[in-house]
Amino acid sequence: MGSPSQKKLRALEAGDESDRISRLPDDLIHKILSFLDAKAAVQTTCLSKRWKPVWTTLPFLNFGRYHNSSPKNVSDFICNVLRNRNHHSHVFSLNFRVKCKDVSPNLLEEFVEYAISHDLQSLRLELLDDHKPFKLSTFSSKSLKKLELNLRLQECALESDCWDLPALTTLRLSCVRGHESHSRLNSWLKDSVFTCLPALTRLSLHNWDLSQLFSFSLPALTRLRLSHCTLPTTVWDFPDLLSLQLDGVGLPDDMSDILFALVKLKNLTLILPSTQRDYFISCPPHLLNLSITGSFCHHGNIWSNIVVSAPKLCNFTAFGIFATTIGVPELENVNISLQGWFQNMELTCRKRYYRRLTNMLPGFCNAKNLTFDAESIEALNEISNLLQSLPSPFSELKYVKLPTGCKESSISSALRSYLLGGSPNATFVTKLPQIHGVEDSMLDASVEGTDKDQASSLGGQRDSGLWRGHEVNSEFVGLLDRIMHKYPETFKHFTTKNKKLCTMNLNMLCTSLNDLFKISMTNVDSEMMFAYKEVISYLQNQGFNLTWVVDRLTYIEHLRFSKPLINELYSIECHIDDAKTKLQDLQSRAADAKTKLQDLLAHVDYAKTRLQAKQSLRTEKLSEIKKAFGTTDAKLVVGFIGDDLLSNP
Amino acid sequence: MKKLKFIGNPLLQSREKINMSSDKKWLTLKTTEDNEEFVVEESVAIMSNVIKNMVEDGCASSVIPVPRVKGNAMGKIIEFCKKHTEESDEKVLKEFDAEFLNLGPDALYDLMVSANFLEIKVLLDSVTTKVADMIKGKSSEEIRNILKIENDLSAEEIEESRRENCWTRQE
Repeated sequence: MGSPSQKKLRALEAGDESDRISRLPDDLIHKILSFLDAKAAVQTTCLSKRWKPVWTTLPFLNFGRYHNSSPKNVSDFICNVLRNRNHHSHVFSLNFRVKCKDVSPNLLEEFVEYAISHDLQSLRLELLDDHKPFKLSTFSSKSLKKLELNLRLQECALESDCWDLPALTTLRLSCVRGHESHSRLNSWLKDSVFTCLPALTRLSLHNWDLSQLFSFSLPALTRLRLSHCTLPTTVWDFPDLLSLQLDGVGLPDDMSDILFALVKLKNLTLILPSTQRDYFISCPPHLLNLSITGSFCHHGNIWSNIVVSAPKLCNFTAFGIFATTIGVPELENVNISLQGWFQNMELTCRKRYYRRLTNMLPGFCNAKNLTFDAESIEALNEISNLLQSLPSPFSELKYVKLPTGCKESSISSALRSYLLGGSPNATFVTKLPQIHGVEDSMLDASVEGTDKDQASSLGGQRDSGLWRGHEVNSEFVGLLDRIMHKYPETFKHFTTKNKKLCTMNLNMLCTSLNDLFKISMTNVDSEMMFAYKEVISYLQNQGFNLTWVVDRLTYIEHLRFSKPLINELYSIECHIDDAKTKLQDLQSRAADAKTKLQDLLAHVDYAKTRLQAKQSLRTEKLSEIKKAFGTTDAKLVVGFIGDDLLSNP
Repeated sequence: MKKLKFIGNPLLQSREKINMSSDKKWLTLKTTEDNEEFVVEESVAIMSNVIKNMVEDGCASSVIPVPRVKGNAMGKIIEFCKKHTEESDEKVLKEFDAEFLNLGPDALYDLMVSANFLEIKVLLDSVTTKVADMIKGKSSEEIRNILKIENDLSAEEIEESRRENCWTRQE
């Protein structure tokens, strides 16, 4: 007990302001804890008195995978958080990324229900193995804005199970395919998923079969991403859709079937699946930005030929090499990137494919700005010999942007004339001059926001240690040493005949004693005592001399059950604990409020200044008006026509 | 005597002084707790929502008082905002942030409180992420050392808390 009070004394004497991090208001500490896993956040309860209740009001709960922990521990922990949290405090975001063997779906449902009843705004549930499917109605909530599910949903189409999410703006659904390959049957999305989502603006679907949908329609949707899904056969009704991303999706021959109804579409991103075929992409009238990632085929001699028709297309980005024909009158910026497209292929193999660039580049003949990344410039340099004999395909080029770190001098002369030769004013630059803001909306085209990886699995520690040749849990080694030191007779008859049985018994001894000794005196009851007495007698039969434990148990019984005064004492102590907790809670809320008050007062001053500025502007304007109309009576500038007209003098 | 501070390379300060009359707009911010004045470009200062509102309402012609923020924190904040308005390359900014936030917990505390008050989201997010990283994966004792938290709990209280809420595990 000496250490904490000594430290306090030292701090007081030194007069320094230590431990300032603890003086932060709760909501800033919550912000810090929002980046940590729930386990780490809850463990801050052990840091100091001030930190003790902080986790109970933490509105950001992230549960990740807990390696090296038994399912019972994980379940117990989650139950404890649910029970011991401050129930007046709302939950802002809840993330679960767990294995079903650790957490039963019932517990998850209970937690989700709790969070929803506490104004939950963001929910992320990811179940990593096979489980009983969830009902949609589990997630109905008036406050939920962001929902991300990677689990099995009720697939029975007959059941009228749907959800009501009036505030939802972002939805991300990933399908967990079962272990058997023929479980595709379970991956249909039913229509009720897309009903009752009036405010949805971003939708991302991964790995679903959408072919059974009768309607594919959302009134407010602006961003849609489909990844590895089977496309719906019905018309796509998204009148406000601005960005569309199709990743690894089997595209129909004529894309206009899909795209014609998407009249407002501005950004289209296509990541072509690995089948080799030609594509005809006829874009909606307002499409500004198009990005295509080609599919890479090692051994095919057939390469995709992509024909694009888009009247207003302004920016085109290509990942990979493919032949293109772009019938686009207003093409401005073309961005060619090869970074990572060849994956781990060696340079010598890649060189064979680089020559394909000569099929690709002429497709961009009316581009005004070209941007290359490091790998594409390197590729072009490699094929300089080939480029020497070819005329420049570009006639309207203004700028060619080189990647950072690439010097103009490293461009071969053949490449230089290939790129710049056909355009009179073209130059190499390192930064394109900022003309439009459309370039930024290109980057914006992906639906995936920056998700901080909330689930962190803390490095596990080794669980077992050795005690006299027996393998026990590391936390018990100390316990056994202490028993050996004080009551060596315990192990006097501990035989080593059957080593395995001995180790088992030793572990049992440790677990029981450990649990027994940690029971608070207020929690003792006769049933429990009886149960432990049985355990102790079993252990005594196994050869341990536990008279000292039995003596203690007998004394406790005597104390606890034959003297009612002690019970009364315990009850008073409970009341004291409650009162203490309440006091601490109020004190920290008061400190919080004080800081907030000071902040607010400062903001009030600011608001006053801004108000005064506006008022003096008004006075100026009135006097301007007075001057302009030269009238003594500027009253009628503001008011009603009949003001003072018929009033008595 | 007023102390005017120009944030940046001292060699460039004189050049900046000359440029003052050119088309860039400049503001003067004054931390009222310790009366330090800072001259900054408007484009840098408006990274703070609070300052931005003042500028938009025409209250920036004279010195803008900034309560609740200390002088040395203000200096650091302006350095941060300057870098973030000048540089758009994410990689460079990440490296800068890592270097910039290499501070002790007290300084981080000041930055956090000031960024919260001045409503500079980018800075607040960076600092809170940094503190979270500092305590990720660490035991309670280590966290107390890193963040200089005073331990006023008895060993029994700690044990009880741990038992009620966490794994039963020795740390």
